[in-house]
Amino acid sequence: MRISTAYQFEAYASDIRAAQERVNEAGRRVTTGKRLDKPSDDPLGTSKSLSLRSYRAATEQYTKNLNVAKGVLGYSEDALGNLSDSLKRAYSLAVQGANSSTDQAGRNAMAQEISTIQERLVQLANSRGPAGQYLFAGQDNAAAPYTVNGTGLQFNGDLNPIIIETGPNEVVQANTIAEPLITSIYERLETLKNDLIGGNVGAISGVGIADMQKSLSEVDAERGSIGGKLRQVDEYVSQYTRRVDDLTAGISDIEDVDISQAIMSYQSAQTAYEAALRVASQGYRLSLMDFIQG
Amino acid sequence: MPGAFHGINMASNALRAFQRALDVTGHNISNVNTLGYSRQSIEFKDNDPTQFWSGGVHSLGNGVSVASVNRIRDLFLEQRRLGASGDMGRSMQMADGLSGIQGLFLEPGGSGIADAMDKFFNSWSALASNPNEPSARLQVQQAGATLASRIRSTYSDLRAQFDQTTQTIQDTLTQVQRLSQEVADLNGEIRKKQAEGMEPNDLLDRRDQALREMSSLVDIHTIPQPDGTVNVYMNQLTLVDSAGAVPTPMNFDTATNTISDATGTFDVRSGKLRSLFETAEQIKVYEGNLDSIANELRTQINSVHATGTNPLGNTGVNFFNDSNPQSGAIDFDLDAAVAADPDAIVSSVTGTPGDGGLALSLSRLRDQAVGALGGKTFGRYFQAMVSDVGTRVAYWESELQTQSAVSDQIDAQVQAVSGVSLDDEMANMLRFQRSYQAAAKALTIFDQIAEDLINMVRR
Repeated sequence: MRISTAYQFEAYASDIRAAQERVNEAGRRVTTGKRLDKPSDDPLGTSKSLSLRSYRAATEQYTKNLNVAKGVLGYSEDALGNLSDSLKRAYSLAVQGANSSTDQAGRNAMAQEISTIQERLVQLANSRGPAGQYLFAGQDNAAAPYTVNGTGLQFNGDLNPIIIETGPNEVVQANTIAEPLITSIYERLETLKNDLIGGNVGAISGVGIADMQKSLSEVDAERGSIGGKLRQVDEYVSQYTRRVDDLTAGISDIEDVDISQAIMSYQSAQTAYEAALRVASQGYRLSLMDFIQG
Repeated sequence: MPGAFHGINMASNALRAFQRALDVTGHNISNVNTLGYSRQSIEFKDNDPTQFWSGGVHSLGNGVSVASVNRIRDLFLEQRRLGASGDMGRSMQMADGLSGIQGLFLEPGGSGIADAMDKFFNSWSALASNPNEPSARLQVQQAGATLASRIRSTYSDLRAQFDQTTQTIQDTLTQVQRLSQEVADLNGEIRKKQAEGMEPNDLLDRRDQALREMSSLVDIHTIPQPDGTVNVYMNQLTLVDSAGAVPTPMNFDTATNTISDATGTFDVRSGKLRSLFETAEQIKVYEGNLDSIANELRTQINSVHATGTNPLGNTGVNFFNDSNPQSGAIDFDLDAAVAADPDAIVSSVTGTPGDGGLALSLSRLRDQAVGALGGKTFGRYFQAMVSDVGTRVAYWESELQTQSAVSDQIDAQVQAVSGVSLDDEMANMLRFQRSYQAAAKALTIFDQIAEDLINMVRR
């Protein structure tokens, strides 16, 4: 083929441009680490990566939600644990009070202690959660749910569950509905207190001790169910953490370059560029004019 | 019988012819960098011989003269080049325009609509699990505002792109008009020169160049006329004929790919103009998509949000601003009440402070198929949009590569035929220089003979 001068120069220039472009592109891939810079680099991959990103964002949120649930469950368990300790004390007081060797002065002192336990019960029943919400108030949890009303307890909350989203169409109930358990424990303590003051040893041994046992086992049953939920939440969290890692790896597979491969292709692009420059610089120099004398 | 000065005449003819040849070579060298220039070559012819009698009839050559100066070109390649340049103009504009649109979406990455949408639904999920937390409500407000503003600003970027495309369409039509006029003017000069028996090589080059430029804008075809002019048509539309340039229709309709004026409506089938039409239409499609997203977010979110009660005790509160009819993405924003006070945001069905049930329902809209979005979720719908523009850009970029290769190939072929090679010209220059020297030498010899003759007579 006949090569015109303009074409020769233009061809060199465009070859050099193309080689330079490839070096630049390969270099960018190495420095940014990104294979997918814009959707047209891989339209299908982009769609997949967006979908994985969205799934990851949701999973991260579910994990955060689970941690919120964990906080509420943990605080509730602590409160019920403390309540259980107090009830154990109430039980041993009932056992002592039922003993005929205990005198009335001792029973009066015990009644005093039961009264303290009642106060403690109210205090625990009005426990606040991590965000300051009242744990045992149902959904109406902005105000303290329990107030002492004469000899009984008044419950001002509701019995609605607090539901936390833990996955697509998956929820966990974070709060514990402790009504009517709390109110009845308060009443049982009230009865025990009155029996202690009245010296009704028969009633204490017949009803009081059993009441305390019953209360204790009911509270422990609630704690058990919270414990079960906590384990479930922990399982979810570790499962989601793993899933987020998998998703991140999946996104990286689509969006990121294999760095060693990127460096290889950068070097080969550079070699090609150098070759183009070398050939062009030789070609530019060649002209018939240099060989014509005079 | 040839005269005594026959040789001197002949040599001086040769000197003149070689002088012209050197001029042509010089012209070629001068135009080595001129776009669209076709190299010229000189053609010699031997002059008719003189008959004379010398014991029979003999012919004596009369030397050389210039037969013609020709443009070296391949008409078939020229025609192919016109077609290829239209396809090339089309692919280039398509790839350019669409990748401009693609850039507006800022995907994939953390600063686009997809990200804002994820964060928006996440914020509802967070509020559902923490309805008592004021910061969770604030987060919903901010995530909602960010989503709205990203949709709005992407929309206005698309609008700006659309306006710019429309402007470019007008500029392109003006350019077609200008080039038609240029071709018509050159037609006139070429006709005149040819009528005078001249070879208007350089004018022809300039006209070819103008036609080439024109063919990258619209799909033209040319019909050469016997008087050296060309008529130029775009499908049924006459752009240039023997009467001159026809005013280019300046009205256009991107939906039907036509331009029109009082005389009729004409299809645009290729070239940059066609791509500009298609780009404008594609922008409208994406604008429509964003409108659908904005309106459906309003419908879906508000219809749930309005059923609940916010911490201020209000019910029937919209989350996004809404009106009937819905106004699309252009003014998409939070409802004024929600924008003013995060406590206007509803998280509960009943109004009790610990109830996050409504926020949960809103968070779940993330996975809900929306009828008005073709049965896709919000996220999927947007992903499909991004993937669509990506696919189109990728297609046109590869098409552009193919077209560039075709076009480069044709250019190379054209250049091989018509391009100036300095080496060739140097060789020609030497050849003509040597020829000139030889002719000068011959002249000297003839002069010598004449001088000898004259001196002989003088004695």
